[in-house]
Amino acid sequence: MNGCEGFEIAIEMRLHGASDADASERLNAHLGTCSACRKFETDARRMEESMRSDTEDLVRQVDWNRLRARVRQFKMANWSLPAGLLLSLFGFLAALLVGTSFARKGGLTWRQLISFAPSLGVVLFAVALLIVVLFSYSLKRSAARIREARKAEESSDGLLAYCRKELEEQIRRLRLGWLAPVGAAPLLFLTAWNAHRAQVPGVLLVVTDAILPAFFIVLGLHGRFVLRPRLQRELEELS
Amino acid sequence: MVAISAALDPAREAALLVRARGTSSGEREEAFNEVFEAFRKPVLALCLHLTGSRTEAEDAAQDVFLVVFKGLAKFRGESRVSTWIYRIAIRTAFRTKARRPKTEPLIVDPPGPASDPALDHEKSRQLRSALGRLSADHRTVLALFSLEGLSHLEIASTLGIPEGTVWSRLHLARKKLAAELRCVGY
Repeated sequence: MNGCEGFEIAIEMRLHGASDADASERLNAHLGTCSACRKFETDARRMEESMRSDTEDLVRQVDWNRLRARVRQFKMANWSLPAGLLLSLFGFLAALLVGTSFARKGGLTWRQLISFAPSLGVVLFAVALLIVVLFSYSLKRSAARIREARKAEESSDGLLAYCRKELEEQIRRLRLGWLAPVGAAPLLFLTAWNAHRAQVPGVLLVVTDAILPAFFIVLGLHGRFVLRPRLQRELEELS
Repeated sequence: MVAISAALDPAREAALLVRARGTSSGEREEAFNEVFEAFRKPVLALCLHLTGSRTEAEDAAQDVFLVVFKGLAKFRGESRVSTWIYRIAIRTAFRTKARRPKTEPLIVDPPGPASDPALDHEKSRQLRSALGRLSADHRTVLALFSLEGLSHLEIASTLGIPEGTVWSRLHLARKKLAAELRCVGY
């Protein structure tokens, strides 16, 4: 500790506007006689200016719109699954109404439609129930995950650990989970084929016979060969 | 030289918090946009000094504003908004820096156009390298003092230390930085 330490601190205070007139006068008197302190003041100003100009270039170059958009994306991501399931439920009910309407126009009576219920209705009811259950579960899970994320953000290493955990869970789910939509595709096809024999009208035939099973197969393969490798790469980057 | 001003005045902060806690999502969005505009440059500057890397500084700044976006409505106002945001920025920047593998050297990203690119790039590299060798406390106090418009009282509040300690810590950090820079012929 040298005798000039007090004056060096006074230099810092004056550099940042925290020095009063008396302190400034005493400092000036000392600087008149001490070359070491004059050098300290010059070096301190130079370092401050260097640190400021170093960041100004970066600040000018950043894409602020992109930064703003990414923040919003993260916020929305937690609600995408329950929203998607809710839309699926509405879509399913709409398809059911449209199918029934076409059936009626095709000459089928309500009695005939109701007679299909044991074979077709059970499957349709099961699908609707599954969507509702998944929606409620996903809503509860999303809310719990948001709470967990908020808690993770408050601690020093929490955010990183939370991101790793989320990624590991998604990778684990996809290990065998991709097989579910691929396995469901033949079942959908068989249901549609069974409906042929019950004389379900043409429009519904096209949808269930070809498009829906194909969509489920593509979904499963996308999970296995696109999504899972991407999540694994992200996890490696965080490790 | 473009000034990076680091704080909102107290009246504006109070009005902003009222809007952030409002029932309308439009008001809350507006409050966040105001915070983003006011603090994007100083937060990025702070993150750059603490991480030493442009890429990490941008990542950290993104994480900071995500936390701010989620927490602004629930902010209790026990400290200034700027104090809260800088505390988040300091934690986030160090966490982002910690993700970098220990064996990997400090990444030095070239700065933008300058009057003497080669000289400025070298000076910039030396400065960031020297800052990277300081302890976290010293680097933080130097980084906060480099932000214009942030008073020593606000810095003390952000760091959670007394006013006197801020000056002595700054002084010690300055001496250490000067010693590091002398070693490389800055």
